[in-house]
Amino acid sequence: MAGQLTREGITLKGSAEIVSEFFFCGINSILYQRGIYPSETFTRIQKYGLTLLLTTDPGLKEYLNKVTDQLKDWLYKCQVQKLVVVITSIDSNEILERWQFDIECDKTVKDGIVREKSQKVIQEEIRSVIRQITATVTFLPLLETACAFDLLIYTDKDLEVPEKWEESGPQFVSNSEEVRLRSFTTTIHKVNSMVAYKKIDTC
Amino acid sequence: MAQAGDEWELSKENVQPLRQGRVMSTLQEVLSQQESASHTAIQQQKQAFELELRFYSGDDPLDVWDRYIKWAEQAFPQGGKESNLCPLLERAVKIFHEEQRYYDDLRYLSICLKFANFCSEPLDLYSYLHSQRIGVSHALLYITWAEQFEARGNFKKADSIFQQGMQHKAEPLEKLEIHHRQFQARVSRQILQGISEGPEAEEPEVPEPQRSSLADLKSRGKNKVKAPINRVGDSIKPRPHGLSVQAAPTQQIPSRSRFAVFDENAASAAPELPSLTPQQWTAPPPARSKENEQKAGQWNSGRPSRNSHQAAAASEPPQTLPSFMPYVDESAQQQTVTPCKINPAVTSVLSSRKPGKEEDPLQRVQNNSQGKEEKVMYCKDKVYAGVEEFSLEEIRAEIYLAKIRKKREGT
Repeated sequence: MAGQLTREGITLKGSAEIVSEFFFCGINSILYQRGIYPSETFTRIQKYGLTLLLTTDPGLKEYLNKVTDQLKDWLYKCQVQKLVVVITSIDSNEILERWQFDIECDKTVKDGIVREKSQKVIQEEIRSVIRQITATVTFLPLLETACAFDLLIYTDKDLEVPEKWEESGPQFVSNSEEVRLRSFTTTIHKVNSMVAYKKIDTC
Repeated sequence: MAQAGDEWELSKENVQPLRQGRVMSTLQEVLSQQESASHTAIQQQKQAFELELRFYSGDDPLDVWDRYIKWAEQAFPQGGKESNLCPLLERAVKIFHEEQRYYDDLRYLSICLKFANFCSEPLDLYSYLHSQRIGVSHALLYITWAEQFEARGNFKKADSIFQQGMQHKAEPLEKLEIHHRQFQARVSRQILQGISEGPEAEEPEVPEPQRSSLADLKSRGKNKVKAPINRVGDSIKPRPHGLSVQAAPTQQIPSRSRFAVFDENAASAAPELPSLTPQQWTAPPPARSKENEQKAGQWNSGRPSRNSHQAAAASEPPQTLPSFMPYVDESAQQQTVTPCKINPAVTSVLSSRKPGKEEDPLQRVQNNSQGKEEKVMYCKDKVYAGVEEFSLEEIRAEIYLAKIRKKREGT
């Protein structure tokens, strides 16, 4: 990051780093906002000009770090298509929410190529996405039961999957309402975000 | 920066979160219309619901109300007065609270529970519902009820409500049990926390500043007269220690001699179930005070007294003479001042207003049911069906239009 700040352009490696860092913060925000983990276990940090909440739960932290590291590698190789955060009810195993981040990679970019886009503009875009994630509480339903989350990563075929990761289905929300959120781009990776939630029962 | 479809984010502070979430399309529609200030589509939809309330001919009138209320929740994201949600719920609760067939209806129960949120004392409404056996077979009643007790820190009562629900075999029982388990987990976690914090924290001292009574206040701002409203923390003037002979005991009052607050938890060795005391009143409890809602009433009740008129005229005081002479055209005729009697008895032009009778909505309801016999000679139910008032012409027009529509379909 520090190296990025001094330069105006952006490289593939830097882009992968920015995007994976965004995911780390974004997932943390979702987990906090939706109350998946108790709010006492989060700590405030300043990032992107916002106050973000990051988990202090050691297990969760380790897990998320592992995921983001792996993600960074795949982003660098331009092999990821999607990252999905699925929120399921623990009791009924019903899928209640699905946060989907579509990633578009510019595969023509190789190492050493520098794209023009300042760090400031990218951060601005990321900030607006995270703001939107925070704002979604205005329309998302209350999660009444205890919930767990799951991360799905869509990659190109025939990739080596790390240990303890397994293949899974898409895990869609049945009878859902979808809302597109803002997107941001580093000119190398473009991330579109979206959230799907259960439609209101019209009983 | 503002793109199309981002209205929800721009006015996120003005949207009340709903338990069941919001329909994005409605939310966007409503918020984008708000800017054009026309609101026409919303008004039309509302009108349609009002019409349907009046001319519904099926055998399930609750359905219209149910849809109307759900629509109002979605279409007025700010909540507030213009959504008319509170009067709407109140009406619906009142209209159907004599219809036995809806007592087991989940829709009616959820309307009642929504209404409870507007009441100043939701617990009253819950026990009322229970005593009337409205929705006693639904888990939702017990869950909401227990939540309310839990929010007030009365865990014992909350637990007894859950127990009752399970005795009644409220459906879905599974959901009730899950909520009960979660409730128990929350309570035990709190107790554990209390233990781990150590014995000295047994009596949880409230860390936040408390209002202390009879404390001197520092004035705030340039206006020396104004004292801060919140009498806590740094806004309280430290007492001058010089004459603390009297002050010292009063200062110790908040720390030592607290009021002996009656603790019903400790007192009730045999926890009486709140439901077992059926309420005498047949009417739902009053909603929160609604001083901004005008109720139709007699127009000519408050007749202005003659006296006050005279007093007003008399008070046009000739005694406050200006220090300068106003220029008067020479041609202007000298107006002769009509001599008027000044009644010395009526000098209090601006007398203090006598406090009017506080109208209790509960009383209103009860009076309505047992008050004087009134025979309404017009279709009152149609005029005042929803929250809007319809004129007789509107009603007639609707009947006429319906006839025409029918004719067209027929031919």
